[in-house]
Amino acid sequence: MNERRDRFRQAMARFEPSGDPLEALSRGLYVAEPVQSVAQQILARLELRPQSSHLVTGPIGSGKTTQLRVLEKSLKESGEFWPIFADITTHGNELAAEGKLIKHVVDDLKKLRGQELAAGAQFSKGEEAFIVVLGLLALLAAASSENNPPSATVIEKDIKQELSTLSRKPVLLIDSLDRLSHAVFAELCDQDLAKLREHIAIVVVAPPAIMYGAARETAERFDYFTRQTAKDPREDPKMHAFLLQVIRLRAEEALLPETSCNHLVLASGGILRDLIALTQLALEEAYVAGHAGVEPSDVARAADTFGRKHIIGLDSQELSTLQRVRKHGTFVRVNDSDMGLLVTRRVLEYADDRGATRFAVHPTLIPLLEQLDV
Amino acid sequence: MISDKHVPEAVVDRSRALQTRVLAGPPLLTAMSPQRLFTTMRTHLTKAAEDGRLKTSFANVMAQLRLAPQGEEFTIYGARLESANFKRSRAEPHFLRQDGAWFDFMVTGRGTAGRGLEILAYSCEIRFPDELLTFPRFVRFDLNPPGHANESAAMRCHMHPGHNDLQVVAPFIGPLEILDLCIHGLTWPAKQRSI
Amino acid sequence: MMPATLAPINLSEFAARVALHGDKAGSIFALIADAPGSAEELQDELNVFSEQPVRTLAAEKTAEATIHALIGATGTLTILSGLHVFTAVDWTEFDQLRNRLLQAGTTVMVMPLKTLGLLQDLAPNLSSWLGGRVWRWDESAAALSPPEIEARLMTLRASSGKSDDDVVALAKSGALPAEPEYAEWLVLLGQGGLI
Repeated sequence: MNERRDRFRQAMARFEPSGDPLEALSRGLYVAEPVQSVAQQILARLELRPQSSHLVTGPIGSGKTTQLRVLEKSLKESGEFWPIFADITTHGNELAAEGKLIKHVVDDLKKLRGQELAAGAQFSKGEEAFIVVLGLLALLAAASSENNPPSATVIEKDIKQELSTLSRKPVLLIDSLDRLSHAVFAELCDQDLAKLREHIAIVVVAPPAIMYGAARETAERFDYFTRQTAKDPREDPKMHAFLLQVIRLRAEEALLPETSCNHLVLASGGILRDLIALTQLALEEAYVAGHAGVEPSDVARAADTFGRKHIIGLDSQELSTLQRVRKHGTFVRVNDSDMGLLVTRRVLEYADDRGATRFAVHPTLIPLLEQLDV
Repeated sequence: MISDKHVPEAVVDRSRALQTRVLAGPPLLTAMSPQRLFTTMRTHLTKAAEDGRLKTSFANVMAQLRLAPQGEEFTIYGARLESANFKRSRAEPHFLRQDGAWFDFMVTGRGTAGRGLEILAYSCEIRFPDELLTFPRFVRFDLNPPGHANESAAMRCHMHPGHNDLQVVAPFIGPLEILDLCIHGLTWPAKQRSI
Repeated sequence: MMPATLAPINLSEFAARVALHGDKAGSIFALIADAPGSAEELQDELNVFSEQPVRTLAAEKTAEATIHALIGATGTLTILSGLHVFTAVDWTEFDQLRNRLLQAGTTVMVMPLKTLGLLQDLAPNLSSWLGGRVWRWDESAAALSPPEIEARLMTLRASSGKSDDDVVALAKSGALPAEPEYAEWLVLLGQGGLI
């Protein structure tokens, strides 16, 4: 038995970048953001407009799914809403035809309900009725595409009738559509998402491209567009304190002393998943080196390994762009390659409280870029 | 050491026969290359560090285990690169066991095409914690290089039980067996006998 | 280390690091390796360190089929190779289906460097899950560099009072001292054939 290994292993398990946010929430590892979170903003808007539609986007790893799960919990606790969480993990081309997304949601929910019933859960009439509503919506969407107006009218009437029986207002939270291309997502906005919006509140996680250029038009089809923005812990003390708290909630001071935590927060660039990944890697480095806890040198090695992985595969043009961002903070998106640098978080976009944005390279890339520039 | 000059020929003959018995021929490791032997030894040591048998961190295991391949011949250093630690100082690099024993080693060999590896020489010394008052300070296993002028009477394969001038014939020990001995062997009970 | 290269790692260290994480559903690692047989060598090494059973899996024709083959094997560590055949469409699909990996055990992807580039560009969500757990297989760190060889030779000269030429001459005349360090010395000089 290796007690030291077990201790590090348990700590590393609390910093798993591929970890399920729902599990983290249920284990009490969620830290509320220092300013009004995405979940809080959407909840407030739903309370005012219970059938509103919401689009959420933000950098990969910024905590969108976590916010959706926090929203789900808040909606349940409100007593006013039926939140239904749907994770659409499927091919983009499986959603292409009208009605497919809604049918996919219905199938997923039925499967989930089946598993929960098998585990002994019980559901109220309202929750069951909501599934029926969704089934009808799927039929409606399919009927619309077949150009069959009389059936559609009948189904619409059924939907309204079912909805009127619900004691709480349904809210559909749809995750993982952010992995679709903008083209596929835009089609969904015109078809299934439009159909859903007519009848119930929806909150949808959208591809990052929505934040930029022509794709912004897609956002206008929703009542509200909320961005999970990144804040730079190097410049924002509240963000710095928040990220420190995220670490501290998951690991004791003996394993992760404050100095090392500070280094980790700075290296993360304010991206939550990167903080988690870097911390896990730093714990691993400390274990390998035989240290009792994470030392600044362990953080440095973790940041170096992390940065190297992210600098691989960049061509000379992309490296030039990164050097420019590093030295001058200037970044103009002119092509797909530049968009790729944003999506893959080699370039980070920060917004301050007033909404003004600026760009910076991911902190783990800076030492490597400096060496390349010599 | 039995010297040719001062003992009867019959004694020398028996000494040669003894040496032949403990080291019948060139010590060969079949189906091995120098790199393969090195990585196998590294896995063995790293696993021991992981299992807690060694206090040495596995980063230090990596740092102290080195390979000098030079053509067909090679030497594997186990915390012996910087010095042979003749003074037996804990300040010098070494591998440390959980029970406080510490060791280092070196193995030189030659890859023989199609026949495996021939071990040409080794030296491995394990030292005991100072608290073990009744134990010798160290035990060292040596395989001298072949072809020495006095090899017929000297003991190519021998061990030193606690003194550089004291040698006892010992069987050939393969490199992995050396590691087994250092990591898992030469232990002592909680209550030792007085002598 | 060049700034635009991945962090190098030897196989023992990589296997020990993966095993350190234990059994964690959806956990992924990547080892960049080109040589044929890399997955099998890694399996041998992981079998020593991992508490979970270890299996190898070749990528299927599609990403969905590959993920399907990974799912359900919780409690098993899977080495996934053959990803160099994945097209841009495959990687995009893998990214879209990423969440299904939460139903799989630990996955170690073995791939060439070019494939990592595709993964990063076309599967950014999967790449984000990977975090920094990507290393390049490299066994060269253990080999002595020319300056280290020279430093070791200087130590040997200083401790013995002999020169390189003295040692070579002794070896040629069959009068090499009976100590393992002299075999090592000849190896470092590239004169191992004299042993």
